[in-house]
Order: sequence, then C-alpha cells, then structure tokens
Amino acid sequence: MPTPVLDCRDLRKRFGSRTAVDGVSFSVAAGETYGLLGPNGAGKTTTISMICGLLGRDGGEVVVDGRPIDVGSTDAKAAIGYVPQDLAIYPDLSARENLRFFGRLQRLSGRVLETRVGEVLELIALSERADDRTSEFSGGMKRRLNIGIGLLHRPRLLVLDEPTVGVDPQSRNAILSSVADLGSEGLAILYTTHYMEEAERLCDRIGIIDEGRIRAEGTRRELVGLIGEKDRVTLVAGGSLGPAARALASVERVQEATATDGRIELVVEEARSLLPRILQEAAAAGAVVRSVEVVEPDLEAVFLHLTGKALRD
Amino acid sequence: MAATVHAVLTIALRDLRQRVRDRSAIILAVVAPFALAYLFSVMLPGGSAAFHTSYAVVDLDGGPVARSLVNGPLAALKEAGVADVTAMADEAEARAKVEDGAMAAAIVIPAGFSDAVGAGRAAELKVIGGADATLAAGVARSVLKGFASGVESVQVSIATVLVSSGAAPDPALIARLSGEALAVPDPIILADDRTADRVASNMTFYAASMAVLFVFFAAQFGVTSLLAERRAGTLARMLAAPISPQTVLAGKVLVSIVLGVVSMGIVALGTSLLIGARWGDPVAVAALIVTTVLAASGIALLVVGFAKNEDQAGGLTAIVAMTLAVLGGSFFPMSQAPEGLAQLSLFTPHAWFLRGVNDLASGAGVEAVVSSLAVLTAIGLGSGGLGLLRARSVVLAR
Ligand SMILES: Nc1ncnc2c1ncn2[C@@H]1O[C@H](COP(=O)(O)OP(=O)(O)OP(=O)(O)O)[C@@H](O)[C@H]1O
Ligand SMILES: [Mg+2]
Repeated sequence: MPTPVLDCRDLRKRFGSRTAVDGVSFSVAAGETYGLLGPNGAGKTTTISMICGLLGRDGGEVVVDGRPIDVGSTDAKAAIGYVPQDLAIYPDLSARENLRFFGRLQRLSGRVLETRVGEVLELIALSERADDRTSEFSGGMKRRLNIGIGLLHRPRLLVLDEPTVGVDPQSRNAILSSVADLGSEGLAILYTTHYMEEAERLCDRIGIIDEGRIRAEGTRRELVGLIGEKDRVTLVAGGSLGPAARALASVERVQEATATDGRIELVVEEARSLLPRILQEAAAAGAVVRSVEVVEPDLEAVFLHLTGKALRD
Repeated sequence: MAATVHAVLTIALRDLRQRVRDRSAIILAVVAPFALAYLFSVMLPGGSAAFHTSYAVVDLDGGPVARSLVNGPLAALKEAGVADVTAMADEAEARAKVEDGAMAAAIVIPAGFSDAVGAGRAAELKVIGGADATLAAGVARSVLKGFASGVESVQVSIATVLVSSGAAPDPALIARLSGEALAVPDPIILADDRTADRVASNMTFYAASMAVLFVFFAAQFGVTSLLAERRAGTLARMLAAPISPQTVLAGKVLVSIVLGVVSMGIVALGTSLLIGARWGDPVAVAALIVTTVLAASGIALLVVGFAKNEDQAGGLTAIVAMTLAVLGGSFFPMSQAPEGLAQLSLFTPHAWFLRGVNDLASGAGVEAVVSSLAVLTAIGLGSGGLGLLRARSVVLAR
C-alpha cells in the first residue's frame, strides 16, 4: 500500500472529565474517500480539529503528506483543505472576497490567486453571484462556498466535516457528486457524517465512531460482513412456487428459501452477484417472476449491532 | 518570514476594511472623543472654545481718541465674534446692566479723555466687571491695555471697578485686580495672550482626556474580534491555513494599534485645527500617542483573554476603560485629587499620557516626556505579554 496522505494514530482528547476522543487511529490514501460515521457527540469534529492542527491533543500523532501536524505547524498545514461543520465565511464580504482572503492566507497571490478563485467559483457554481455579499446567499450557496474555500489551494487532503447538514436535497446531491468527482481526481478525502446513505454512497472505507472510539472499520461490505448478516431477496411470482423454492434452496450461497402466497423469500450471501442464477433456477422450476427485491443489511444495522443504539436519535 | 508578514497584513487589512464599512468603530474611535472634548470645553468652567461675552461701552468723551478705541479694538472684538459691544449713554445704566448680569462688563471712557491724551496728560479708562465674570473683564482689560500701549507718550491707566449684585464686592479681590491693573509694568503685555493660553490649555486637557479615554474603545476592536471570529468559525478556518496562532494574534493586535493611533491622531490633529487645542511638539506627541496605544492594546488583549465572548469583552473593556480614566484623571485633573488617588493614578496609562501632554503643551520637548514614554511602553508590553499568553488559549479553544 502506498504511503497514506493522512495517517493518524491513537488520537486522544479530553475536555475536563469528558473524554471526547479516546484512541482514534486510521489512515486515508490518495484517491480514497474515508468516512467517519457516527452520531452527534461521537467525537468526529474533535478528531478533525486535531488532524487539522486547530486543537491541541492529549495524545497521539498526525502525519499529513509525510509531515507531522501540530497546533504550531505552518507549512505542513498547506496540504490540508479544511471545510468546517459550521459555515465559516464572512457575511460582509462577497463570495469572491471570501475566496481571495482565504486564498491569500494559503499563500496564493496575483494572477494565480485570481485564476484559482475563478475556477473555484465555477466549480461551486457561484460565478453568477460571485460579487454579492454572502449575507444575501441561500443556505445551500453558503455551504457551497464553505466547501470551495477548502479547495482553493489544491490540497492533498480534503477534510469535510458534515458538509451537507441543513442543505436541501437538491444541493445535497450536487455537493455529494462534486465530492465524488474530487475523490476520483486523486484527492484523499476525510468525510464525516451521521447520514448512513452519504457514507455508503461516497466512501471507499468507513470508520464507525462512537463515544470517541472507532468501533469498526472497512469497506461497506466488510462492515456488513462483520456482523454476518445476509441479504434478503423477495421474488414476487406466479406458477409453481413450492418446487421453485426447493430448487433454489439447493443453490450454493442460498441459505433459506420459502414459498408464501405469491412470493418466494430467500436468505442469500451476496445476493447481487447471485441474482442471475436465482432467476434462472426459478424459471427452470416453473415460477414466473414478476419482480425482485433485494434488501442488503445496511450500516444502520451494523451500528446498532456494534453499539446497541441507533445511529440517529 | 515574508509569508508571515503577508499573512499578518492580510488579516489586518480585512479587519480594517470591515471597521471602515461598519461605522461603529469610526464613531467610537473618532467622532465620540472629538465631540465630547468639544462639549466639555464649552460646558465646563475655565475654558471655552467659543468664548463669547458682551460689553457695554459708555463714551462720555466723544472725542477722536475715544472714537478710535470704539471703532478700533472694540469693533474688532465684535467682528471676531468674541463679544457683543453695545453703546450706552451713561455710566449708571451700564453699571446696572453689569449688576443684573445682562452685560459681562462695561467700559467707560471718561469725559475729557481725548483732550487729556492730546495734551499729554495722564488719562484713565474704566472697566466695570461683574465679580463672576472676571474672564470677560480680563479680556476687556487686556484689550484696553493693548490700546493704551498704542497711545504714544501717554500714560493711560485702567481702573477696574468690580460690582456684584447684592453682596458687597470682596475688597481683597478689588485690591488685587486694581493692583494688577496698576502694576502692569509694560502695557504691551497683553492679558489677551494669557487668556488664549488658558483656553488652549483647557482645550488641550479635554482633548487629551477624551483621546486617552476613547483609545481603549478603539483598540478593543482589533483584539476583540478574535472572540467574534472564534464564534463564527472563521478563526479556525484561518488557523487551518499554513499560519501559526501567533500570526493571527499579530494581525489582530496590529488592527488595534492602527485603530488606536488613527483615533488619537485624528483627535489631536482635529482639536488643534478646529477648536484651538495646543498639543505641542508633534514628534513628542506622536511618540506619546504610539506608546499610549501600545498600553491600551495590551490591556485590551488582556481583557480578551478573560472574556468568554465579544459582548463580555466589550463590557469588560468599558469597565476597565472608565475605571482607569477616573483614576487616571481623565475627568478631573489629578492636581485636584486627594493624595492617595494621585498615587494610584500612577498605575494608569491615562495619568502618564495626560502628564506628558501637559508638559508638551507648555512647550517642553520630547526629553520632558521620556518617563511617560517608558512607563506607557512598559504597561503595554507587560499587559500585552500576559494577554498574549492567555490569548493563545483563546485562539486554540473551540
Ligand atoms: N470545547 C469543548 N468543551 C467541552 N466539551 C467539548 C468541546 N468540544 C466538544 N466537546 C465534547 O466532546 C464530545 C465530542 O464532540 P464533537 O463535537 O467532536 O462530536 P461530533 O461527532 O462532531 O458531533 P456532531 O455530529 O454533533 O457534530 C461531545 O461530548 C462534546 O460535548
Ligand atoms: Mg461535529
């Protein structure tokens, strides 16, 4: 495995007697999108703040692009693009002025800065409104600008802290697809969320975090596999369902097949890859399949299994 | 290093722009001290920017020398807007006007005045002043002295008569005033100048007091915005850039210093040009201003270190600024304060600044204010140093 862009090890942070982060370790490779999935108060923002050198830590190490990060770091932080959970833009400045200001702090200047500001405005679809004060922006526009500022200096690692909170579904979709594009361009992305669907859709790997600890980590499938849950397939069909169910039960990786009125219920390992075979066998046994539904166990179930509580309260 | 300087300037410029856009800083830093200095100087006794009085003139002589007095210096007073000059037919009427306060003073030119001057005999002019309008009488006297000194080869004496409504005039005061009038060795010394001096020094005192009071409000804008930006999240965003917390702090402190210098500088310049304050040696005044701003910024930074949010910081700054101003003699001169208070005042930047301005206003050079400069710098560095230690945790707290 190539050296990761972000490597953090055993991060710890206490606020008074409350332990917010309790030994968090993970790494993110170039082109990889890593999700930190956890409920409110899990320690996502605290973890991110330590990674970005914004918060002193009680223990652990952060290395970004081969350089250690600390609260006193300067140059090393240039590799990070930070998009905070709460909007961090100046309401009295226009979108362009906001981008210019933070671009200058990122050591951009002159033509390079102006060009890059133009590109980012294009990317976040705010070129039309570039010179309006951001206090006049809609929530979604502010969110987009909030993300754009993090991209200005072409960081190696993009850190997004719940970037879609409070955004309408349409803007949210736009944000998610542009994050996906950035990931495919080779950026290492650290994405925190408490929305299971976002983590599933965007992230190559996911760390499930609760009470300051990563409870499990892996690809979606690995995580689901961790709790050993199988997919459920429902065939709505006519014809001879009983023989069809018996035939299907003997197929490898099908663990159960029962016929009820008008449908066959299956419990299957990795249903998607087995689906053609299932349909073939059912037809051969005389069932006329009208529709198929596959229900895979989701991260919600994994979270429930790991922590004994629901992801969202 | 260049990158750090660039970042400090970037942060400071954004802040300053915001301060210029939202007017509150300008009002607090410039308009308020200037307006209050002016108001105090007009309202409080002892000095007036717009000194104005009224004289009755009784010309019992009617001759050419008398006319030249009336049409010369007295007409000039009227023209300059310093006094209304009303001609009256007899002394008794004028005296009555002065007694009931309608006129501040009366000038009586006795019959035979022109003849006496023409013949080279001693002549006398008379000023009748209310006991409570000595400044007006003083101005009148000094104008007459000026005139008298212009009347060649003639000894014109100016008798001062005091009247007061009801109570008998204080004989000691009369003796002193008339003695003063008689004892003037050289009539050319115009009391006029002394009066202007006193007005100027009062003006300067009020201007300096208000400048040093309000510089605390001006200076707080820079460092207090640390708290506002922390709340808004823009502080964290700045710190995510390749800059250190110290760079952000430096940017904010720079804003405080710039606002403070602009505030005091404009008040000093404005009161000099518009309402006749005399601050003295510009270089020394500038040094005094810069060190005072340093002290105010340091204290403002220390306050920020103890405040939870910007509102609290604003309140704390107001309390600290007013307390220091009272202790430091911004509202009444320390020369009138009890012993203990005068000693306590030495812990305030105000006392050292006002002391410095006082010395400079009376004509001293920069060497006279070295101790003020040193103490102000020490206050600035001391409080600023402690403030920086605390502010670092402000910057790094979420
Ligand atoms: N400055 C602070 N002082 C005290 N406690 C804090 C502070 N910041 C965070 N905490 C606590 O640390 C824990 C983790 O908070 P954190 O903000 O990291 O959670 P999160 O996963 O980002 O939650 P959310 O989804 O609500 O943003 C919480 O219990 C929170 O109350
Ligand atoms: Mg959070």
